Amino acid sequence: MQAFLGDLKLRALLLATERLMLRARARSERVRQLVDEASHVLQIRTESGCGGYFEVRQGRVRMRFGLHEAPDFTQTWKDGGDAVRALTSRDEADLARAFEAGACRMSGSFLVALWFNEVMKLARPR
Amino acid sequence: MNETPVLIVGGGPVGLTLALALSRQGVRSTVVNDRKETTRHPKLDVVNCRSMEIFRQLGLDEKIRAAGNPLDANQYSAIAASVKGPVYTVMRERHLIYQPVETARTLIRECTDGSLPLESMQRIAQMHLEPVLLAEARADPNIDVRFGARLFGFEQDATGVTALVHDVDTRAQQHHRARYLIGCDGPSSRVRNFLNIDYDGTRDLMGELFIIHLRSKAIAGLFPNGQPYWHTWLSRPGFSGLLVSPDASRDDYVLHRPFGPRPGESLEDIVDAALGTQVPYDIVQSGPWRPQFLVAKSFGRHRVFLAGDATHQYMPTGGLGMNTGVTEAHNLAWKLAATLAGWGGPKLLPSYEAERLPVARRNREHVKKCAAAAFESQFQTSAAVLAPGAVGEAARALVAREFEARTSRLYESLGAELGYRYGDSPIIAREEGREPPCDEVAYLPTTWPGARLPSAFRDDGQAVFDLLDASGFTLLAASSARNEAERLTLAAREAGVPLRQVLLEEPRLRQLYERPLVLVRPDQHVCFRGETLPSEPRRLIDLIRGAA
Ligand SMILES: Cc1cc2nc3c(=O)[nH]c(=O)nc-3n(C[C@H](O)[C@H](O)[C@H](O)COP(=O)(O)OP(=O)(O)OC[C@H]3O[C@@H](n4cnc5c(N)ncnc54)[C@H](O)[C@@H]3O)c2cc1C
Repeated sequence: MQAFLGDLKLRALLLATERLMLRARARSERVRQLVDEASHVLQIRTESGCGGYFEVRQGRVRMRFGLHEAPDFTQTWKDGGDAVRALTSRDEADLARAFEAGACRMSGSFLVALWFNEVMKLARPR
Repeated sequence: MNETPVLIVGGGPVGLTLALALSRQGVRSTVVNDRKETTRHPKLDVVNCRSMEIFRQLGLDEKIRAAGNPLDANQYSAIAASVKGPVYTVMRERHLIYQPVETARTLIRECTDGSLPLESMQRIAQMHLEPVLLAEARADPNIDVRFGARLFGFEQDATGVTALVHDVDTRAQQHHRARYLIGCDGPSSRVRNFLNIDYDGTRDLMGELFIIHLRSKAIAGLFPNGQPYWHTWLSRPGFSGLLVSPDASRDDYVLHRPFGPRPGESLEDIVDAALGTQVPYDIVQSGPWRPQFLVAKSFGRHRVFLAGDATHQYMPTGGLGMNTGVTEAHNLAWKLAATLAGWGGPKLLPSYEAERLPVARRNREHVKKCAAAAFESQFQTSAAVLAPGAVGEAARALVAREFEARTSRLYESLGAELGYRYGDSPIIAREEGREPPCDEVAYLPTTWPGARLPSAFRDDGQAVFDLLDASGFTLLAASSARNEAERLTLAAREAGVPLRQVLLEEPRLRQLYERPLVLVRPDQHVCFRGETLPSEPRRLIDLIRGAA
């Protein structure tokens, strides 16, 4: 039940994140520049396979639920709830804490994670 | 009122280097610094190859080396579960950078293709570097060093800058009048703020990291031959970090962690976990800090310029913080000197920003990639790294491979250190044709205009860099180009521009330098090359002195 709720929260977060990004893209020049310059796929998922990916190409961002076949960067969380906690935290080091604690595995290019961090910092309401 | 040609605000490593570089060009300066003493924090742990080349030009290389890691001590970088082990791999022979300076010197001397720097890097803590620079500045009659003096504000007009400085103890006011003011006042630069120049970039992308400075006589004993590696990266399930030994002959260590202590965790818990054993040590200081990837949008206005952390803040991955600042100071010093001497034209000082801002941005991207690489090399760490037998061996080998493939970028990127070019500068004679690649990692020796001259030795063993004029231009000419060289010398003399001719007979050097005529600036960068001179040599001279 807890895993189910975690997955649900993760899906809601992914949707909300896409909205935030699109809104920020329309409002912030820096976000527009970041999006325009990027071409990558960032996957956020749980070990059980729940999740989604952000595809950023040709100045557009779109989120799709499911698993991409060749993401550039992947975060694989043990639990969707942990993912939501770390990803919504304003403390950037929470991702590192989760990684060290084994709650999250990562693979691929960490530059994509830094890109995501920057966009989210600019996109989140202050 | 203290009158000085150049007022330098900030007596950190960059401000002091600038003062020393100006002095070598015969320019007096005053340095004001609000702290009363040099830093007590180890901070940087590498003066990179390019900075060491610059310090050699300033006559400081041996003094800096004497204050740092012994010449026969390693500069290795390793990755391990803990300092005690198991060690997954040690990077030692694969690149010049890891070699003790003595060994590196032999490799450099034997290199004939220009691919190596003239000087290898120096492993040294900032707290041991700064006193060398400060002592040198204090002993220099051209430099008026005032520690304990804080810049309060300044105003500039058509002929100079008037600055108000406070004594930090007595609050007594000092008035300074300078032709130029340079803000080397670090990340919270008051000078930059006064000029209303922002950084570009988003703050705090990595969050808050944590640093512990400790002292121990016992830690060295955990390393082979009692000689600590320069960097020991730590990676095992539940723990990651980096133990830095800025100097193998000293007892100081710096432990970096990706975040502060967890609830209930003490500093000692963290240090013991890093060491993998308990040995005596003292914790000197500790605290959180926030690495950044920021570059100022502009490097100055009119008579006021910025250098060092005042222009850029980088995460230390790749060691480009102060080192970028040293190359900025080097770029700015000869331009200030030439302008004050009268032969520098009106475009010379503005070219500082045109040349250095793109380098600062390039270095930021490199540093970011280094930071990412440092994280990525831990992605393969699994519980199996601590397992015995073949399973453990395979897991450790995997981490070792990832580390060597990725983290090596932090150390081996001579392309970033030496390979930056000022190709788009308004004071460089551009060349038609296809520019050779300019990679951040691999350094490609080239005399393409704007590039740093590749380092080489003459047949008699003398370094070509030592033949270059540090206060004027040097024309490296093949003997077949002697007449052309004379024409350029004449044009320079007419413009009052110092120009030294060096005839290169060695076919090997002529091949390396690609053209029979290579004109080199005081900062060792090529500003023109050719088979022949342009039809009007005076126009070339005016271009490179910023008067065209
Ligand atoms: C943990 C760590 C590791 C690092 N590792 C490396 C490395 O390996 N390689 C590398 O190149 N860099 C490294 N750096 C970065 C390096 O420490 C900085 O880039 C370097 O100190 C910048 O030198 P600076 O002279 O520009 O500024 P600072 O060192 O900050 O000096 C500025 C000076 O200006 C003074 N000042 C400030 N305001 C005023 C004022 N209003 N009036 C008068 N004086 C003022 C300050 O007191 C200070 O002395 C590292 C940094 C850290 C924290």
